Amino acid sequence: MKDTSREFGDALANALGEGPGRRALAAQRATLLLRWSAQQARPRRAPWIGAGLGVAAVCAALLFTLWRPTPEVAPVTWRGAPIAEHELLHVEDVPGRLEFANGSHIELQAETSAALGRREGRVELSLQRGRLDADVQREPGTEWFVAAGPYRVRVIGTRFSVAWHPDAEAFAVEVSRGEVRVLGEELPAEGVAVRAGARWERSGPAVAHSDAASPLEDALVTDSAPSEEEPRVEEGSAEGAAEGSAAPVAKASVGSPSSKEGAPSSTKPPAWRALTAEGRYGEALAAVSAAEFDEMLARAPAGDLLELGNTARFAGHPDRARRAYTSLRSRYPRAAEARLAAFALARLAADVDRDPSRAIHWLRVFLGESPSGDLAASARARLMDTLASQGRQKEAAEVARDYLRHHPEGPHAGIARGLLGSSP
Amino acid sequence: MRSVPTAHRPGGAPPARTSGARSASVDDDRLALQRRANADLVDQVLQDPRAGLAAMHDRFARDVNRLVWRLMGADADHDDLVQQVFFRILTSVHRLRDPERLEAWVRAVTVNTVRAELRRRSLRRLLWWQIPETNVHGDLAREVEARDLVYRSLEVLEKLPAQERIVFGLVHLEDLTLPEVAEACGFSLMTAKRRLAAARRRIEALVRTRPDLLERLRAGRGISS
Repeated sequence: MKDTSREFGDALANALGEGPGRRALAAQRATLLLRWSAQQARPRRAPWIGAGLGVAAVCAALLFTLWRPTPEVAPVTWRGAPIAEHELLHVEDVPGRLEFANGSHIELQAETSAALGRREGRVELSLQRGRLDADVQREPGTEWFVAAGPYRVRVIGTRFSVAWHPDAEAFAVEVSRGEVRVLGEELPAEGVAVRAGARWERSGPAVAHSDAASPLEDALVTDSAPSEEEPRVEEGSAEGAAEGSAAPVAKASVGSPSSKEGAPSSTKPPAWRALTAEGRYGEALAAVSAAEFDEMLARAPAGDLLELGNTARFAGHPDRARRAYTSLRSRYPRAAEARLAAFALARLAADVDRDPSRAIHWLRVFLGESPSGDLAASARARLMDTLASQGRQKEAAEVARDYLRHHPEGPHAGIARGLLGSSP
Repeated sequence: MRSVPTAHRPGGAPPARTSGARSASVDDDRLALQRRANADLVDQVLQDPRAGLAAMHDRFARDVNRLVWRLMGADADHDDLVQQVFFRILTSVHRLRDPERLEAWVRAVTVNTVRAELRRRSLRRLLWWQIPETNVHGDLAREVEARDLVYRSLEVLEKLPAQERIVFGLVHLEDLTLPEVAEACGFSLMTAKRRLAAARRRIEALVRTRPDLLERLRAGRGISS
């Protein structure tokens, strides 16, 4: 079997193809000659002018670097583009980065959902699930928080990561520089300090969360930050728990802010999830018997169903994947995971079933439910392309317009414009 | 599709000798013609740069375009980069001592231009603290799956240092041998080997963290025809 890097190279070479076609090369030749002629016609500067301009440019760059004005928290960008307040940020596989004007950045890792809330003097990220790595620059007058389940991390200029898996109610914070303070209802009023090199984690019994996405759904329509201007760290963390999906249920005593060994014993995730986490999808799916699979379809929380569907899809079992996604959508129609299931169903219809009509249906469902999320640009591009390939030019042009309205600088913008140019 | 000069492959079958003096003579004639054509082309550029530029483009457009296309990943600035390559060729061809080596020299100029661009972008990222969006050229396959595969793959490639990315691209996208890569990049064979190994290690690790990409690579899906 070929190694991964070779497979990667072969697939990329095939996808890229040979480059621009003959007509494009002819146009390129004409442009090249025109520019050459224009360049020759331009009067030449004395060499010292060029040198002087170069020195001036270097000085300007140095001045800009050294005398950069005091940075502000706003604006913030997600993957290089501005984001709306409380917009659901979801990363399926490729990590995405939130960047702040003051140099702080937060990277959401694979299978992570979060929403950002900001108000004067306060930045708060609500982590619904998954893991984030943050590098926050200390800034007078601005407080930074990460809310995850029943916990809230108060940031004090630092580099750290937070992980939250609601299904196992597993929370972990690891600090590589500086210090953070973990607040939670069952923790001391002042919270627990976690310093550089330390990790603090907590696992509890599974939370009965019939609507796993509801906290974030709420965060989309209400300000996730508490109403007080000042974070009431000293007064305990009842407000900190407000982001949680339910009242904190961890019964263990306050965890040691040091090592894994010191933390209370955790409820081990099932074998299939561990295998999935290692990328062994076939084995993960084999670890779930047919009866267990049916049982999960009937009882598992939204996050598990999405993960189960993805595992089946990656393992090459589209039927089981489809069942998991369908069950997820019927049992948790309002959950964020249900939207992702719609996108996954569209992909199955397009990639596996080669059924463009069904793919179009699911893409429309996904865009109806998540018109501005992380995957919306990709969904619009797919929809535009599928409609065009079906000869439905008018509808494709409609989607192209929609694409340009939402993602004017998106990677498919050129194609959308081309489609609009060629549509009747 | 890809340029695979099999006769240069290390370990490849040695050239047949049994065809005798006639085939050797044909090869010699061909080489002599090639050398003459290269020398004429260089002369033309030196005598009449505009006509020389057109002739250079006619001769090398396909190779230069394919190389830039693959090393940069169907970049939105593709045409500007190709233009830079041809302008560099024009302004430095007088330094070419051996016209016989014109093809290798053009390839080296192309690789240097791409390398400079990749470095410029990484410096820009560093100075301005921003990650530019991955934009691709409008000529990239219209098929969504192929484009998505390219985007995801570029996200992996963009995490590689410029030198490693180029070595990986020359070997795995352009099928060059390591000696050819070393010549194009201007470093030793050992360095080429070391950089290729480092690039492979990084790519393996990066692809492992992207199960969706790995899935597509394994299934061979998302590849345009």
